[in-house]
Amino acid sequence: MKKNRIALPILMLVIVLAISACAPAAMTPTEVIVTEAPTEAVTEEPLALTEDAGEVPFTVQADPDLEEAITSLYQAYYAGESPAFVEADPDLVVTAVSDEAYVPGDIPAVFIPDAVLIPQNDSPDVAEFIAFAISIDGQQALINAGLLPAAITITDQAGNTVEIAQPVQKVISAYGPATAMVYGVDSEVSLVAAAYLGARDATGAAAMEAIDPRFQELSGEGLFSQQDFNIEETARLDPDLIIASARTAWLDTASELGIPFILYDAETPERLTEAILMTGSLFGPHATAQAQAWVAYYDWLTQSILDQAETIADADRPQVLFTGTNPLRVASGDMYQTSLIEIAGGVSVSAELTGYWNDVNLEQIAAWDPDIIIVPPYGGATVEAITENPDWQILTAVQESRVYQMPKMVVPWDTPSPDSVLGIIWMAQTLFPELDTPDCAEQANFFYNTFYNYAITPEEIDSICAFD
Amino acid sequence: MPSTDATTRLKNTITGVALAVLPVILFILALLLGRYPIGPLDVGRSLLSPIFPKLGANIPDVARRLVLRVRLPRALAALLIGASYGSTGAAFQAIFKNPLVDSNILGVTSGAGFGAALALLLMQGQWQVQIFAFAFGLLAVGMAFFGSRLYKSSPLLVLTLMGILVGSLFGSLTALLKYLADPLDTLPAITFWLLGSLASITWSSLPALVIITLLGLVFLWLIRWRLNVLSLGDAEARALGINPTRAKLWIITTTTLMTAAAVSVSGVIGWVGLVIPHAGRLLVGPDHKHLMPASILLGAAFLLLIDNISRTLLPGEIPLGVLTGLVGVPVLALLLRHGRTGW
Amino acid sequence: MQLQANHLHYAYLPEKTVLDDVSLQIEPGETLYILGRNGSGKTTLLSCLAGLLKPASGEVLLDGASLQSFSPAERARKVGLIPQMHTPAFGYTVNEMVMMGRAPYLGWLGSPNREDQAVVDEALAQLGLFELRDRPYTEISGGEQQLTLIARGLAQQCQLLLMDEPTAHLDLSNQHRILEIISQLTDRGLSFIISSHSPNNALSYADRVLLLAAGEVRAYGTPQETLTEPMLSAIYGIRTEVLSNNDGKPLAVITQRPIALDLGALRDPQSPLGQIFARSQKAPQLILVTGLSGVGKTTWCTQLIGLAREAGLSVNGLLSPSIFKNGRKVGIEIVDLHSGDHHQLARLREDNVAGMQTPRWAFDSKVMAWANQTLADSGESDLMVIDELGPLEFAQNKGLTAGLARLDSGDYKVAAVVIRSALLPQALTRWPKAIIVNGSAKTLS
Repeated sequence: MKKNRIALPILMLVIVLAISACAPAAMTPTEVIVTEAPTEAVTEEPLALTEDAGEVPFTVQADPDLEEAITSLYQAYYAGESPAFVEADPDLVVTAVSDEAYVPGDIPAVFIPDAVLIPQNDSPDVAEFIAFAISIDGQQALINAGLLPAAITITDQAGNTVEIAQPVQKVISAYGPATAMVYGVDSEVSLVAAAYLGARDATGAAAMEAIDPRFQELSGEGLFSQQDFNIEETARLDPDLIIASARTAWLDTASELGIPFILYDAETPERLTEAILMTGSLFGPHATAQAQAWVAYYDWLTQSILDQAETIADADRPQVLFTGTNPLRVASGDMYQTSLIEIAGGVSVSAELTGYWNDVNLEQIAAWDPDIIIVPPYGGATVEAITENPDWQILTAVQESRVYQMPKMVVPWDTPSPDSVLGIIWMAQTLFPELDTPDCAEQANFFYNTFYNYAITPEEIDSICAFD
Repeated sequence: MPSTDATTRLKNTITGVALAVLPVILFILALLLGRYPIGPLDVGRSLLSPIFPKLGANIPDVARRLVLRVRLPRALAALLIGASYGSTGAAFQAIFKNPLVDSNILGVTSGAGFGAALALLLMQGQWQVQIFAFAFGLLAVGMAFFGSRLYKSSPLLVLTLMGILVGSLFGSLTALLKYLADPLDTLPAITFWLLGSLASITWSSLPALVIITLLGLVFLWLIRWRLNVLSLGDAEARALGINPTRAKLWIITTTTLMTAAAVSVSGVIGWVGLVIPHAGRLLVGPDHKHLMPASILLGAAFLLLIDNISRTLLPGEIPLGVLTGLVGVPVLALLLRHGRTGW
Repeated sequence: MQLQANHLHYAYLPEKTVLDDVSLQIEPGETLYILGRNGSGKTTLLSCLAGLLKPASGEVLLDGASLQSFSPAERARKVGLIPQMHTPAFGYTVNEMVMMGRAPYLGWLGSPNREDQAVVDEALAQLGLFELRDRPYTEISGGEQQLTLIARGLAQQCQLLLMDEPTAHLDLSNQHRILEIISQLTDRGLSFIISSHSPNNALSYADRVLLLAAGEVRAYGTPQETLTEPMLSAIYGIRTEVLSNNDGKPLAVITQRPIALDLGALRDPQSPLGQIFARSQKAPQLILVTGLSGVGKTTWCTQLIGLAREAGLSVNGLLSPSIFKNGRKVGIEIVDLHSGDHHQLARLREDNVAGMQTPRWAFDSKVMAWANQTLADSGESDLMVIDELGPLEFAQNKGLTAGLARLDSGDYKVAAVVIRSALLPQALTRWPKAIIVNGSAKTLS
């Protein structure tokens, strides 16, 4: 806990600098054209002060410039009551984001850009209030008070500038990786229909169900894919926003509905970071903060690995082959998998290929002679298909049993999604077992708890992070 | 044999020798070329090492295994499949009296493509794909053939029509499967299979192919002269004492088995069965006594050629369907200029 | 080798009989010609004789053994069928085409060998095709193509060759060449059954002729016996004339065009018209007045009637003058030539397109019945005119049926019947001895 309090302000300062470079438009609320200021009533039932007359649920110590914001929230939550401000010994601290070097930890409750709610004790009233403040309803209340923009303008990854009314209450995600990002920024409550990555098989579906009980209902099987789109279903769901891949085929049709949509095109680590930050900015300050936390985590991880991998000479870097659903399909240099390998400190043997998955023959693989072969966790690919194939015994990697399968919980760790940080960690550990790179089990535990709000069990961690 | 003057005879002999030698040369090239550098002497020693183990002692194990377990079966497959397409194309053009058909006129390739896509969708595994492809290829032809028996008049026309119908039926079903397939993994696998490739051929893919193709080739070679008579039409064939229905039944069965076996191993390779017999006619004339061996040899040579290019030119495999046109069209154009006139 | 066909009956569909009780016989060295109109069943007959089609009833015997008892290959060694010429799909050489005749001698899996080539060489040489043997079949002349097919038949080494219209597309010289060669081959013991469109060729080359009409045998015998004027008229529906030499041997068949009669020469007993009337004292003479619609057949009849009455001849029957209004024909009258009564028989149908040369008429059935009765009741006269007999009578057997009956029974002296040219073949088939006259009004002198 103590570490977080110091780390957070520093973290926030770093993030402010990052944000101001990425999304300036979001910082000028008053200049944004307010289209329809949604005047929906706050859905949360205002709590009656039933305890004792005269007793407040909790006390607040707030920075002076944040008093107005916190008052609006409090009034919205407690039906017109004003918060009890104190100078010392409060239950809840409302202060500006602090500037600290990042260390993986809990994500702060950011309810307005730069401002954070820090509970001082375990009071359930405080906890509930914080949950309200960072929810959609809290965002709505702040919009009503004019402290947050009623609409934001975003430039998506296809270069389109789109205006989106806030808060986003109903979103359809037609792109699996984008869905994962929505979960990663803690905004899955807004989903009304989504395409899921890696949840088609039984284990993946079960895992996703455990993470989000709404999964079955949300996964509009057959409603959406990159090729196809059911316009009537979409209209019926009445979304505020659609997020999809830039390579989607049905964009023209969907634009007829007049619903704004945001396009994703993230095949490199840089673009992935952009995409996650963009996703965060769609759903309000709390989601933005969550996205920024991911980016900080990612940077911290890659730096840790880099520090370790620097000790290895270029010539000794492991040669890695990443195969696809078929052992003779390999990832090209343009694909995310190759970036993962390189960040993890290895060299992709198939980097000279371009495009998407490439088909090669066994002889070419023998010519490359990789040290390590990695098999993806989808499409029925297995390690045995390679290790038990007599013709593949000519390869060093097979002879030394260095054929591994990239893990996944739901989303495969080699796809451009928040989960891919774990892919980097796992790969670094696989490539450099002798180095002290971040530990897969430890980081998987942190990641799923923090970014998926999912209490991953030790058994699950074992099954994913096990090394043969 | 009908002999005219000495120069024509000489030309014919040279053509014959060239045709016979061409596949042999390309086969040897197939063993010598590859992305993994192996010297010619090493290749030779690798080939002989099963019989003379001492020869194989000094060659790196990878090289030896690549030659014996990867290059050799693949070259054999290219040889057999090419010969299969060439001969079945010639046979079908004869019995349909139409130089514009290949063995897919009755839908075997479309059926096999559907079978493979179905297997890829439902399960993974090399041999399941092969069996499904084979089975559905036969099913498609069976449907076309028995459908055509319902109509007594103009049997050839009805047979062609049924073949087209069955072919498009399976084409639509395949499109349906592609639609249902997961775009991230199954769909690319289906698409690649439909483009044709010899990349995943190992010795285990070969036994059925070898047996069926060799038996089929022998049969087609033996009845090659009869194809002349059949190509005159049913009435004349009957007048010359042949039972055309029975002959066609045998031929269709054989060619279907051969094509289904080839497609189930290598995917869909179009164009070869249509064009190779034409090239053969331009070189040796329409008499099937010479045309059939020519088609067999040319088909084998052609497929060896493009497979060699496909697997050595770039690190990634170039789909065979891309190369058949790119390589074949200039070759055919050349033949049209210098070959015999008339079909 | 003798071929005998007994009572062959064949129908492609149950209601459509193509051959009805056809019998024939041919001995070694004979040439049999089968003549008939298009669609009379010649090709089907040849297919049955070759064993390609199985007749519904009846049988074909080769030297007493049923054709069906042989395997296809055995049969092909005895009987060869040379079909109508057509373009093959591939450009086989002449040698390769002729080599296909060896098919009945090679098994399923055989290829021709040197002996087969020798047989082919011999066949080519006999027909003068040896120099052409490496030329593509598709590039030689029609005559040479036909010869190639005959050579194929020779290579088949069969005793009997059936040929379907072998001279159909050949010029005079090639026709002659082919037929002479066939004739020479028969000297060696081969027999030929040839379907043909040329009665003249049959006259010159046939030993026997079989005349087919609508699947039935109308005549079967020597050319002299079968190729007579009435028979040819009946078969082909045209007037023919057979020219013979002084010994009565028929030399050629020529077709006759409708004659133009000089009506003015009615009284001249030497003129054609006069001769007709002269002959009518002994046997009924039927004149078919023909021409396209609107050419003036009725006018011609009117003039004939006028002239006949002037000559003191009695005239009865029916005439159908047109009713005009504003220069347009709007109706047809019918006149009883004996009594002079007339009624309107037909008027223009409403749904006609203006300006049609052959418009459609609506007939008054009562008037028609009256006309018919008139024809039945009229007694004998020197000249009976029936204007006109049309599809109603010939196809549907309605309308002036009394007229048909009288003509069929010969109950007239001279009858002038107006018939449109399209119906001539039917009329001639029915009354083979009729004289055909050009009923154009312009031919009147």
